[in-house]
Amino acid sequence: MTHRYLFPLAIGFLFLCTGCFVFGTNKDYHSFDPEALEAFQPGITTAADVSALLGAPTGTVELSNGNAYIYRRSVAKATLIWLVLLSFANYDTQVDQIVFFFDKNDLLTHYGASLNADKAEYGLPF
Amino acid sequence: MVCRFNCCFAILVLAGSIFLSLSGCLSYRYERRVEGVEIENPGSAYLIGETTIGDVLSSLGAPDEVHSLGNTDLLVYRRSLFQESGLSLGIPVLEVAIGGSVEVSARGGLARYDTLTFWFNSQGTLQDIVFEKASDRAYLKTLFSK
Repeated sequence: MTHRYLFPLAIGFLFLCTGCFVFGTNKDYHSFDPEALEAFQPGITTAADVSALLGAPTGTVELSNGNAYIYRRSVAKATLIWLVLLSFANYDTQVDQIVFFFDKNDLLTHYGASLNADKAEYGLPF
Repeated sequence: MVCRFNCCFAILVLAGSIFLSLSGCLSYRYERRVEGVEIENPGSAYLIGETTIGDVLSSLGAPDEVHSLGNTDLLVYRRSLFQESGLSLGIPVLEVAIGGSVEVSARGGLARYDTLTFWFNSQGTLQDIVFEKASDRAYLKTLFSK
């Protein structure tokens, strides 16, 4: 008796699972060279040196006692699932970012680097 | 016995037909967007009047945002979490039959930000620090709160 319904139920379950999966990656990215970062020396490196090595910054900020140059690269990974009645989407965006701080003479005072772009992951949204 | 089997089969076919009719008309969608890495509570790791920009940069890396407010500079570390769910029911067949369609849908989106902000004076010394972990708040409870 129970077995009679097993097949239609299995077909129904399989039907619910029909759909499609999509994995996508969006890169605004080329990696920073960690060895190049070691070349930057506070008190010696100038804004021109940084621009010569890394190119134009993504953004600049005028600070109270100098300027900040921001270099940003991002990686976004998307996982999309379409089932019959349900759809799920998960987007994970991570960035590599370096911020250089210069004094009013354009000499490097500090810099900070966060290299997290490789942590972007595919996955379910729950 | 044959009739009972046929009735069960008919019910299954009917249920399947209704289900097939609804598929594409009834749908639930859930979306989640994360940007940035986890931000931990700084606790008492940074001291006002003592900690410098260099200390913060060496321990947390590059900030996500840098701002200037007159003689004060801000470093902002941020992680955003966006969640959205939606339920929609539409009957496109009616568009063919009566030239119009019926669609009912409900959707709710919620963006939450974990933020750690440092205020520095023009000498680069910490003036203030604010931390908020909004992603700890429950999604549905926050979504339906007034």
